[in-house]
Amino acid sequence: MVPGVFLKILLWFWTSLVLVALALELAITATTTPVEVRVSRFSESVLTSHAHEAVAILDRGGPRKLARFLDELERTTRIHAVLLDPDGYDVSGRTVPPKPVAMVAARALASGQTEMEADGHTAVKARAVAVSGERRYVLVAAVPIGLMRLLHDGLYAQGLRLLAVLLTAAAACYGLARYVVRPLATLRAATRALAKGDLSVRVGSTMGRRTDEFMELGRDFDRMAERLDALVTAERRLLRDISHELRSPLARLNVALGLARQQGSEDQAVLDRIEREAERLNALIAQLLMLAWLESGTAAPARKPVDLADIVREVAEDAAFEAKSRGREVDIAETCDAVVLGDPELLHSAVENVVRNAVRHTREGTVVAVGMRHDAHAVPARIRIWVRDHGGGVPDAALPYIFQPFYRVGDARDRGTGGVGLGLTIVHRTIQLHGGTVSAVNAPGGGLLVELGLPG
Amino acid sequence: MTAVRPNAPTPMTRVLLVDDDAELAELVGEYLAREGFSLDAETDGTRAVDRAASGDYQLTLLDVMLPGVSGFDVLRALRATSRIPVLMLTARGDDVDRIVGLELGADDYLSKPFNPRELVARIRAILRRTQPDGGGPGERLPERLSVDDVAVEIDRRLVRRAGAPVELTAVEFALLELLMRAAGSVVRREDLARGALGRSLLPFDRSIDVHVSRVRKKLGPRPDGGERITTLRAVGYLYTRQGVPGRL
Repeated sequence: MVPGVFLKILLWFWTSLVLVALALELAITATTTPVEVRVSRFSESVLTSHAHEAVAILDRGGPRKLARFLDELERTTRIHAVLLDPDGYDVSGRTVPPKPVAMVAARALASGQTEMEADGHTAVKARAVAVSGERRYVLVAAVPIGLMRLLHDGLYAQGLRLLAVLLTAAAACYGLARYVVRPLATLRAATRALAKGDLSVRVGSTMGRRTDEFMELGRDFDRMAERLDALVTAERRLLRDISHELRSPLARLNVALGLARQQGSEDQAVLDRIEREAERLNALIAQLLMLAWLESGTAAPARKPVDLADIVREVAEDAAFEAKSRGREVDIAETCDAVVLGDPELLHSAVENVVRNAVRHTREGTVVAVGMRHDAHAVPARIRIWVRDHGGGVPDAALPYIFQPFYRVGDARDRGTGGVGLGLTIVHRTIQLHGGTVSAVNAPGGGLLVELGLPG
Repeated sequence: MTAVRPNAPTPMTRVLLVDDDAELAELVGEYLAREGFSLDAETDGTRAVDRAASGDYQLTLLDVMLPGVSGFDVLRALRATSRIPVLMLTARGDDVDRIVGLELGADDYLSKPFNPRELVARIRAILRRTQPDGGGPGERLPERLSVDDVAVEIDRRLVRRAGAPVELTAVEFALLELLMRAAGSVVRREDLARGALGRSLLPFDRSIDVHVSRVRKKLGPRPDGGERITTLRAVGYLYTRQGVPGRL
């Protein structure tokens, strides 16, 4: 996210700013008089006056004065000029300009206009001067480049300007991107925490002193989190209250049942059945309350050293005893020494729930295998407790849901198996509270394989 | 109720039920009557303290979930003046409630909803400890136990340390008796539970440990500063004699 939006904003704004700068440069260039035009205009008038002056000086002071004047001209304006007579000879005694000079001079004499010839570096301009109605002289000036140098200067300056724009724009865009992305990062972290179940997360205090849409968004987020918090809390409280309230009639039912037995009712089988159902109801309420407590957010499991091998052995022994009467077996396939920090009772009941679930679902005459081992690849260290039955397994599509409350595989509620539908949910929450993970997969060869991973 | 069984204790044992559920109280009363108990119900916690301590009752059933004043407050107030056996009714699976109750001096607990047969069994187990002559007069000789500076008169249910009386509840007295009879050797937790509570321990049942720790606190250390009752983790407890190492 940070490189994503951050980079996008940075690049987009930076590119736009650079493009704007380029467009501006082009626009300025297009709407102002081109350099060479300015140079030529300038040259035309100046050249004419220089030409007249040169002829006048020649008239009054002779070639020497003229030479001094032209030297002076070159020094001040860097225009190298010669005055030619109609035959193309230099009258000033200065260096004769190279080849194109004669040609330009001839053209100027013929046209009476300013004539120009340019090669790569020099622009040669000629202007004929009429003396007493006759074109007698021509001033030929080599303008030391004019054009090309101005052009070079222009590119260099443009480059500098562009670089300045690039750097300034980059700095500004970096700041802008940071300014935009930072509250997003804050909001994102908060949203993640919320999604993980931390309903107490708020961003209000971390958004700084901004007064913009981000702050509004932050405030809206806080309102949403508050509402969510209130709803979830209310739902949990309702669940807990209902469960508590169900206890009173159930307690009366139990005693009434006892009375019926005491009075020697003839149909004990019916009473047995009522008692069984009451027990089931009671177990369900106990589990609901357990779950409500685990999910209340106030549940902090004890952190005592717990010997997992002991728990696995005890659970397996107890379950084996009960399974035997129903023609099934429970067997410890592997074990290891492992002590974790946690609540011994909660962990015991978690392992017990998984094993009992397996015993319920394994086919008659089969073995439920229980094992535990250190996870060799996990960092930090993990202990895995696994339970595998030989039952029908669970359709792959249903696997992610079997830890949800009251989830039943298939439509037929397997009442005969005695579960109330909360065991695995409680296991999941318990292991989560211990910083562990729970997974279920269909074992190769059939049956469900449930794994509890605990940090250890 | 007129249908009193022949084996019921006579005169009728009076039990006080402190619970805000009047209908439940009615049903329990009817059930207990057939088992030879007479039950009175009290819904108000404050009045319950006075009634329980009045000496009219042999046992109190106390629901910890009372509206208004908490069952624990009732228990605390009651224990300030009375040693009447208290059987707490707790929410199932609420271990904190159980342990808090035992630490405040309740004799045992039963989770609610309960099976009335189980309720009667618990009541009888507790009463057996408080009424040791239930087996019939003359069967037991007046008996005294003493270890170091602690002396116990079994039939009068008196405990003295260095001549000063120590107030113990029925279960605490039963535990002390069991431990002192076996002084110098370990008594398993399971045996203590059967002997003092009249039942087996449930998984993660800390009742015995809480009761023993209360006995310890009430007796204080031995004259030489040593611990009277030592714990053998996951096994049981050992009442030690001054200067004598214990045996396992």
